[in-house]
Amino acid sequence: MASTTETKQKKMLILKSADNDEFEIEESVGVQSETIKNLVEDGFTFVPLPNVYTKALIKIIDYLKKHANKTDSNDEEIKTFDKDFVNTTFDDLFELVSAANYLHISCLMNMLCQTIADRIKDKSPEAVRKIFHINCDYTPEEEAKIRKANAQAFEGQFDESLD
Amino acid sequence: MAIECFTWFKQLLLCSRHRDGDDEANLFTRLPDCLLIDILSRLPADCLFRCRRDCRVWNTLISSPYFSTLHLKRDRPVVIIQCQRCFTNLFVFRLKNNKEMMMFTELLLESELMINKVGKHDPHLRYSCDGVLLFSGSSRSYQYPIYTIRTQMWKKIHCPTPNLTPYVSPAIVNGAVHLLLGKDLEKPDTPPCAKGIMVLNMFMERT
Repeated sequence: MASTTETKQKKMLILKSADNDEFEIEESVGVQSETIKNLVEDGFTFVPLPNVYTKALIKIIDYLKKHANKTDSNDEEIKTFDKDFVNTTFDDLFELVSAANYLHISCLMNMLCQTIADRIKDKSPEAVRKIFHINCDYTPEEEAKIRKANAQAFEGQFDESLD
Repeated sequence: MAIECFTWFKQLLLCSRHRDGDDEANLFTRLPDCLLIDILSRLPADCLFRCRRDCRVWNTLISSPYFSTLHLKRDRPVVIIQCQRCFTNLFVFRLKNNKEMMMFTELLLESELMINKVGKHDPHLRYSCDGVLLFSGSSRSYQYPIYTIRTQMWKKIHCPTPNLTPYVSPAIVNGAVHLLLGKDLEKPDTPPCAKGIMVLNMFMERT
């Protein structure tokens, strides 16, 4: 598919982030996102993205560019890129996964969700609460009850760090 | 599935209304629920139990049947083999890390579950479905031990029918075991129906 688009003159798209920054990318790069693809099919070349902020959009465009040139030979290179890509804070990951969800880039969403899950699986309940910015709304009695019901899940040492 | 999901989301919406008032500016409210579900469904079972303690919304979410189904879909299939000579030895094979390698783990039945220890019968694995194992004890037992691999927990259910016929698979329709109630109706602890069918829904036993 990539080769057929390359022979024609490269079509360009303009993406506009929520902070009103504009980015020009090749159409072949942009259509990896289902949301952009649908708009392109309807004849749009200017794509406003009111739910995606500049910071996340820059990273996502990098990702799309890298993955658009995917061949058998640069497999290792892309793996290293992906590893670096997800090596960031939880808040950034949430921002990215929301953006990827809005843009419908399923492979990126999969990767980000899996990364978040892998990183929180050994955390203590307290650490998970802080990472997701949630408040405990149980009464101490209720919390003790849940703890007691699944006592073995709470045995052992857990990771208390927030990164 | 779609209807189930819809009704359940309504429930979650009701819960989240409480949440919004607490901390409007926090980032978590910006993370769509569908993504939260996606992330949580990738966690191992013991971690999910810890997450239930985090807040009410998560507890509602994780306990929902929709979530169980999703979580199970991501799990890798296991093969369970019961030793014919010694029923207490159960072997569980599972695929490790999506590679072709098979892992061999031994699941030993706890001694307290040897129903009717005097008898010669050990718990016999009768049926398994979605990570739930149903055993039957001795022929005079009214108890059926159930083991859930996901939570590694045992529970017992009481059934007025003495036993399932040995070596014959029980009747299973839509993941529910159907037991015919026949004998021992004089016993006070049996329900007053003459010929009934007891339905044990394995799906409900999962969580």
